[in-house]
Amino acid sequence: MRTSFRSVFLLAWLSARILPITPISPLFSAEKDSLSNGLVVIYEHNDSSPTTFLQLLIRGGKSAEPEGKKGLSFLTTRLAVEIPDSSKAQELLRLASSFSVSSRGDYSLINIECLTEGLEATLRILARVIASPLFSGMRVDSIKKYMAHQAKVESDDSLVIGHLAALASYFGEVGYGWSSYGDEKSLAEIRNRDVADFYRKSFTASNVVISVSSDQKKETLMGVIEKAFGSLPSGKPMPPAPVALRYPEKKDLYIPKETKQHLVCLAFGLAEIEPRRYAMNELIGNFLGKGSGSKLWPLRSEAKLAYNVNCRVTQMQKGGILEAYLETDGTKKDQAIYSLREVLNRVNKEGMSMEEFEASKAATKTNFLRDNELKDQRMATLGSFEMLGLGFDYMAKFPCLVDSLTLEEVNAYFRATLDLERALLIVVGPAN
Amino acid sequence: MLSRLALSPLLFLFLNHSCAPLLGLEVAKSRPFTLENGLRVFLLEKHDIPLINVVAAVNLGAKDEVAETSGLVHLLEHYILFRGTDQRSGSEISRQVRQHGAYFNAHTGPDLALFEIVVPAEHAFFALRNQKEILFELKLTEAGLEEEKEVIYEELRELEDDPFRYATSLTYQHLFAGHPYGNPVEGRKEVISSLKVGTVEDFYKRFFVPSNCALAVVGDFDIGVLEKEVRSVFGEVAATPFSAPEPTPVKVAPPLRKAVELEVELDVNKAYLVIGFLAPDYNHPDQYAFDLLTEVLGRGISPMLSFALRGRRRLAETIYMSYHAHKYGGISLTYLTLNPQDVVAAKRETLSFLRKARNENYSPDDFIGEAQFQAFDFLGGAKNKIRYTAYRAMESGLSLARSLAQHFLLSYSESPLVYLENIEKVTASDLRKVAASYLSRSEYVAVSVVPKKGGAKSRG
Repeated sequence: MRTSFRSVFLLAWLSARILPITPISPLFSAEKDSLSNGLVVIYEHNDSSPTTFLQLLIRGGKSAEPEGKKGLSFLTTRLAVEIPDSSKAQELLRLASSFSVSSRGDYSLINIECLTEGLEATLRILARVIASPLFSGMRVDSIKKYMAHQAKVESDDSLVIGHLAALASYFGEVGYGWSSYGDEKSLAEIRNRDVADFYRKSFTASNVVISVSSDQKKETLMGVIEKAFGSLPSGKPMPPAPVALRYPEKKDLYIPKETKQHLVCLAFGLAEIEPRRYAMNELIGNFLGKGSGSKLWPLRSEAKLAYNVNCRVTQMQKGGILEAYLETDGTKKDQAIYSLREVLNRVNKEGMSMEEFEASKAATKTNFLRDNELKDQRMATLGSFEMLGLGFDYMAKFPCLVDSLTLEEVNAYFRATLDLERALLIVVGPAN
Repeated sequence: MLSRLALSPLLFLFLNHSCAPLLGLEVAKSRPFTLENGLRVFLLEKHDIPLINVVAAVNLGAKDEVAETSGLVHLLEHYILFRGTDQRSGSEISRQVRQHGAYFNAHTGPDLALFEIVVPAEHAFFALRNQKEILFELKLTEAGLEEEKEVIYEELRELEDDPFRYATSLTYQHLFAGHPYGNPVEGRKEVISSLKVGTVEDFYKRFFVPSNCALAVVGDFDIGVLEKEVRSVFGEVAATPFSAPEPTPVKVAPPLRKAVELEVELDVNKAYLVIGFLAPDYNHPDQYAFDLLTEVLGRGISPMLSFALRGRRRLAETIYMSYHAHKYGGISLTYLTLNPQDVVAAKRETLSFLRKARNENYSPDDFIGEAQFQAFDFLGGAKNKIRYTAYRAMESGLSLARSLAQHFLLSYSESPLVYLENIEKVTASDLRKVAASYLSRSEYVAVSVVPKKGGAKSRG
C-alpha cells in the first residue's frame, strides 16, 4: 500500500505553475508558490523526518463574524472537516493522520499532520470534505454542543478568564473581543444558512493560504496539493474587518471565582501590527516576563508573591494586548497589585538599561528559534505572519529586525505603550 | 518561558515516557562515553537550528523520598535553579543566563530530576559550565531555602486550582499508596515547612555525584570539539561513590488492593474525570503493547473509547488516554471532560469498556475469510501513529536530549534503538493480553472534579 502511494507521488503529473522562487534564509528556507486557481502555497522542504505538516489558513477568523454570531468562524471551519462517515475516519486513523481546528482574531486554521507516505490518501479524504461539507442541522448542533462545552471549560481557568476579559475590554463586541467558541446565546443565534454563507465567503482560493513543510520533493508535493485543493473556487478575499483598539473606561475589573489563587493582571492595549512594532512587542514581552532574570521575576524570587509570573503578548492585525500577570495567595493579593504596578511604573519611567536591552534581544532570538524548531511550529508561524499582513518572509527577517532595534526607540515605545494611566487591572479570585 | 506548566512536576510526567525519539540515532553523528568520575555522557549533532540543548539528569526523584522527605527533591530542584552556588548568587546566574539568551529550566518527576539549558550554539561552553556549577557547587543557606519554600507554597495552591493537574496528583497518591510514587512530587506543605538545611544538604551530597547523573547534549556543534569541552568542564568534578540514604524507599510499586473513588468540588462549570490503573514499568516487556493499546483506545481522531462514550448518549466531550512508565511501576490515565450530571454514567461506561478491551478485535488478523477485508486495522494505525510521534519528537533537540539522559538512568537495555523494533513486533493478541492484565482489574482510582454544590460561583 505504501509503495503505491509513493509511486503515485512520483507521477507528479499535476505540477502547478511556478511563481518566482523566494528563498527567505538558509535557516527558514520557505518559498511561495500557487495552485492553478491562485491559491497561495508556502512550502518548506525539510527532510528531518518522513512527515508532512500542512496548514490551511482561512482569512477572516473572529474579526469577520457578524454581530451577535460569535463562534461562527470556528463552527464553520470545524464543520468543514467533519468526516462524513466512520470508514473515512478509520482510514485516517489507519494512516496515523490527524487534524485540528482553531480560530484566531484574523483567520481560522485547519492543521493536518501525517506520515508523508500517507499524505495523498489523507488529502484525498479531507480535501473532498472541505470542498463540499454538509451543514446539516444534526452536525451543526453537534459542533455547537462541543463549542459550548469548550467555552465552559475555558471559564474554569483563571488565566483564560483574565485573557478573555482583557480582549473584551480592549476590543468590545466587535472583532477580537471574545472566545473563538462564542457563548451559548451567540451559538443559538447562528443558523445553518449563516454557516453556509460564511463558508462560501471564506473557503475560496483567494481567501485561503496553505503552508506546508514536508520531506516530499516540491514538484511532487505541489501535484498532490493541486489535486486536493486546485478546484476550490477563486472567489474574493474577505474584506478587512472593522476592528479597532479602544481603551476601556473602567480601569479595573474584579471577576469572582472561588479559587485558591488570585490572578492579578495588568493589561495594555497594543496598536495595529507593523513589522518593527511586532518585534518590539515580542522584545518587551520577553524583557518583562520570560524566565528568571526578567523584570517581573523578583516578584517571585524576592517578594515571594507567586510561583507563576509571566507576560503574554497577543498580536493581531488591528491591535493586540500585553498582559503582565502573576498568580498569588489571597493574603498577598493587595501586595501583588501594588508591586506589579510599581514594577511597571518604574520600567515605564526608567526604561531598559543597555545591558537589559542586549540580554532581552538575545533571549528573544533564542526563544524564536526554539519556538520554531518543529515543522508544525514553523509552518504555524510562517502562516500567521502571512495572515497578519507581515508576509511569510518576516520569519527570516525577524532576528535581523530584533538586532536593528535601538534602545532609544524601544524605550520611547515602551513609555507610549505601557502607560499605567491606560492600563486595565484584572483580578480573578475569591470576592473577599 | 517559566510558565506554570513549564515548571510543573506533573508536566514532567507527560514528557518522560518516550524512548521513541531515540529511533534514528544511527544516522546522526553521536558519541556516548563515560568520564573517569562516572558521569555518563551522550553527544548528538543536530544542525538544523543553531542551538545547543544541554540536559543533565540526576537519578533522584519522588522514588527516593519517604513520607518525612516528601517534596524535598522538588524543593532542591527549585533551589538549584534559582538560589546560587559557591561562585555566583542566584540573581547573578539569572542575569548571565539572560545575557547568553538562554532558556533555563528544570523538572522533578517520580524518577529523575532534569536540569536543562538551551543556548545559541556559540555559547556551548557557558551552558556546560553553568550546568556543572549549579549541579555540583551548590551553596545551601537557611535563608535561601526558606525563600524558595514560599514560592513552592504558591505552586501547591496553584495546582489545586487546576482540575486535571489536581485530579492527576490525587490519582497518583492513591494508586501508588504505600510507595514513594504515592507521595506528591511537588510535596506537602507540612513536610516542606519542616525541612531543614541539614536534611536537604545530606540528600544533595548523596545524590548529586557524577556517577548518579547523566548528561545529554544535542545540537549544532562539532562532536570532537564538544567532547573536549565536556571532558574539561565536567572532568573537574571529583569522583564520589554514590550511597543511597536510609531508610531505602520501597522499590516495586505494590498492587492496589481495592478501587478508590474520590470526588473533589471546585469552582468549575464542567466536570473533569481521571481514571487510573497500574501499568507496565519503564523496563517491562509489556510496555510496547501497552503504548499501542493506549493509542488505540484513547488517542487520535477517533479512538475506540469515543465510540463507547460519544454515541447517542454523548457522555463525554473530550477523551484522552496517556501512559507513563516509571522505573518501579507504570500508570494508565484516562481523562474526560463532561457534564457534571454524566460523571457516574461516564465512569461506569469507561470502566466497562476498558474491562472489555481484552476481548476486542484490533486487527484484520483477528478475522477469517471475507471478514478480514471489512475489518479495521486499529493496530496498524496505532503503529503508524507511534512512528509519527517518534519522528516528530526527533525534530526537537530538547526532547531528544531529555530522552537520552533519561534512557541512561532508567533503562536496563544497552541499546536505545529497540523501541520501534519492539513496537512493530506487537500483535493484536498482545494488546488483548495487556488489556486483560492491566485494565480488567477491579482495582482502579477514579477522581472526579465537579462544581461546588449550589453551583459554580464564577461567570461563564
